Amino acid sequence: MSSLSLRGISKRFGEHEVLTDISIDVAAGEFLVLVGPSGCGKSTLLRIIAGLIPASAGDIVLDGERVNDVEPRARDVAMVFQNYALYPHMTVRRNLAFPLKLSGVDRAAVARRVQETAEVLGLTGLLDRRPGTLSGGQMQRVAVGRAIIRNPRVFLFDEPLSNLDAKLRAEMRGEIARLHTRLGITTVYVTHDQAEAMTMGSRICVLDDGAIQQVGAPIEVFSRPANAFVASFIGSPAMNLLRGRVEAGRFRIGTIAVPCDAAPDGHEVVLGIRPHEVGGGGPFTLEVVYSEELGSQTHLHCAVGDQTLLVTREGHVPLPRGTRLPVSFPSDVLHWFDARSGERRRPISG
Amino acid sequence: MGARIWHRLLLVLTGLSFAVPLLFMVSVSLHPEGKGLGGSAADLVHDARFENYAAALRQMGNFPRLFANTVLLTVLSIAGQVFTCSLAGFAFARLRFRGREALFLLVLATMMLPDQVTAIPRYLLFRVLGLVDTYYPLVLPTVLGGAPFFIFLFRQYFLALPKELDEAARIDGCSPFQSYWRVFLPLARPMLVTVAIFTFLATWNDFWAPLIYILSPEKRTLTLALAEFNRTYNTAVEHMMAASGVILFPCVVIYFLAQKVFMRGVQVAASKH
Repeated sequence: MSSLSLRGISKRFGEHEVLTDISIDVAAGEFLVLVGPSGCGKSTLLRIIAGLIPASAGDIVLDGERVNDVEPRARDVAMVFQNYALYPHMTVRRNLAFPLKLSGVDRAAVARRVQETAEVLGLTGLLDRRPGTLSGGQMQRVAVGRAIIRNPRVFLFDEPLSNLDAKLRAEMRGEIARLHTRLGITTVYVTHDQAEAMTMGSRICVLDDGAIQQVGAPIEVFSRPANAFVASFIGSPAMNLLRGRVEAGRFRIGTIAVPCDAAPDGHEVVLGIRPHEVGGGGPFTLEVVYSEELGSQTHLHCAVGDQTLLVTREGHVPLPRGTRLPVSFPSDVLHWFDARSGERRRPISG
Repeated sequence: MGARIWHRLLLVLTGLSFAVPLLFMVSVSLHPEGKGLGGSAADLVHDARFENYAAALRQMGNFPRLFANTVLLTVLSIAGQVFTCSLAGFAFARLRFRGREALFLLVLATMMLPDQVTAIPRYLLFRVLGLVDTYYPLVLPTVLGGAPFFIFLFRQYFLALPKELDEAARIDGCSPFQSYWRVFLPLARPMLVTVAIFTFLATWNDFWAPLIYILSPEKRTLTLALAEFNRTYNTAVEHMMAASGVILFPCVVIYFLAQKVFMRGVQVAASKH
C-alpha cells in the first residue's frame, strides 16, 4: 500500500489557471473521492497524478518520493477512464495482458494472472471477445481488470461510471467499493456525482473552480459544509440557500423571521437548510408554487419572498398550487453562510 | 423516383468512362497485327489473337526480370511510404514538441511543388551522391516520408482517435514508439490499405522517375519496357495494348481484392477533419 501527497499543485493552460494550490495527503489504502462540477479541474488533477500532464507548480509525492519528473509508466499507477479506453483491436485477454507484457512478465505468469483477474471480475466467458462486442458494464469491468492486474501502487478512476445507466451504475459502485476493500490499494476516484462521492469514499475532497473547497468524511462534509458551494453541491436534492438580512437578531426574508446568532444586525447572510429538515406545523406558512411526486417522496416548491424553498415530505403528499404550507426552521439544522464570501459563519461570541 | 433514375444514369456513364478505355485496350490487343485500330470488336468472336500476348512479352525482353524489378521497387516503396507517413502522421497528431504546427505547415507546403520543379535539383543531388542508375532515387523519397498528403491523412486519422487510448497506453507502459506500433498502427488499417494501394498504383505505373534515373537495361521497369513499343515508323499497337494489359492486370486484381478496406479508408479520409 502506498501513500500519495499533493503539495501546492497548480496548473495553468496559457493564462487560464485551472488548478490553484492543491494540497492533500492520501493515506496508504485510503479511498479518496474528488468531486466537483464539470470543469472544476478534477480530471486535470488526476492526469497530473498519473503523469499524463505536468503540473505548473507543486510536487506529487508517492511513498515519500517526488515523482514530478517520472514517466507515467514508471510511476506504477493504473487508471480507469470514463470511456474505458480499451484497445479495440485486441481481445479482452490481450487487453488484460497488455500492461504485463510491456513490463516483461513471462508468458505463463501473464496467462495465470489474466485468468485470476477474469475470475475476480466475472470476465472468464468474455476473454476471447473484442471490446466492440461488449456491453458498457462489461467494458467497464475489463477496464478495471486492466488496472488491477498490475497490482499498482495507486488506482486512479476518472468518472468510470458516468457512461452507464442508473441501475448498472449502482451495481458497479458497490463492486468497485468491494474491490477496494479486498485489494486495499490506495485509490483516487473522480466523479461529478455526489451520490458516488457519498457512498464510495472514505474521504471526499470537494473541488470548485480549481480549488479545494472542503476535505472530510462524507457525512462530515454533508452535515457541516464549509461553504455555500459545498452545501449546494453535496446532497440530493440540494440544500436550500436563502439570502436575507439580519435585523434585531433575526434573519428576515418574506414573512419568515428566524433567530440568527451568526451575524450582527444589518448583515446579509445566507440561510441553509436541507429540504427534508424543514419542519412542519408552523409558526410560518408558505405558499406552494408547485409540487413534484417522485413516488416515495414529494417535493414541494414554496415561495419565500422572491426566492424558492424546497420542502420534501415522505410519501404521497400532493398539494395543489396556492396551498398554504405550515413550516418551521429548527435551529439545530440551520447553516449560516456569509452572503459575500459564501464561507460558513460561526455564532458571534458574546 | 426521377432523381434516382438520373443518379443511376450518372453512375452508369461514369462507370463507362472508366470501362470503355479498358475494353478498347483488350479489344485492340486481340486483333491481328495492323488491324487493331480499324477492326470491330465483333471480329473477335471468330478471330481473337491471344498469341499477341505471348508476342508482346517476347518483345519486352526479359519479362521476369522486368516484373521482378518493378515488384521490388513497389514493395520497398509501399513499405517505406506506409511506415514513414504513418509515423510522421502519428508524431504530428499525438506528440507534443516545439515547432510542431510550423513543421506540419512546412510539410503541407511541399504539396504545392510539382515533381517537375524538384526533378533537376533532386537529380543533381542523387548524382552527387553517386546514386544515379540505382534504385535509391526511386525508393528513398518515399521511404523518407515524401508524400505529404499521406502524412496529412494519417495525422487526421490519428487525431480522430480518443486521446484516452494514448493515455492508457502510456500508463500501461508504452513508450511513444510502442504506442504508435502496438496501439495506433493496428487501428489505422483502413488508412494503411488506402495508402498502400495509392502507393502501389503510383510506383507500379511510374514512368517518369525510372526514365530519369535508370540507365542499365537490366534495371529497367515494366513501364520503361512498355515505352519501347512506341517506335517512330512502326508501332505494333496490338502488341503494345497486350503488354499494357499484362502490366495493368495486377493493379485491377489488387484493387478488387482490397476494395472493401480501400473504400472504408477513403470514407474515413473524407470524413475526418
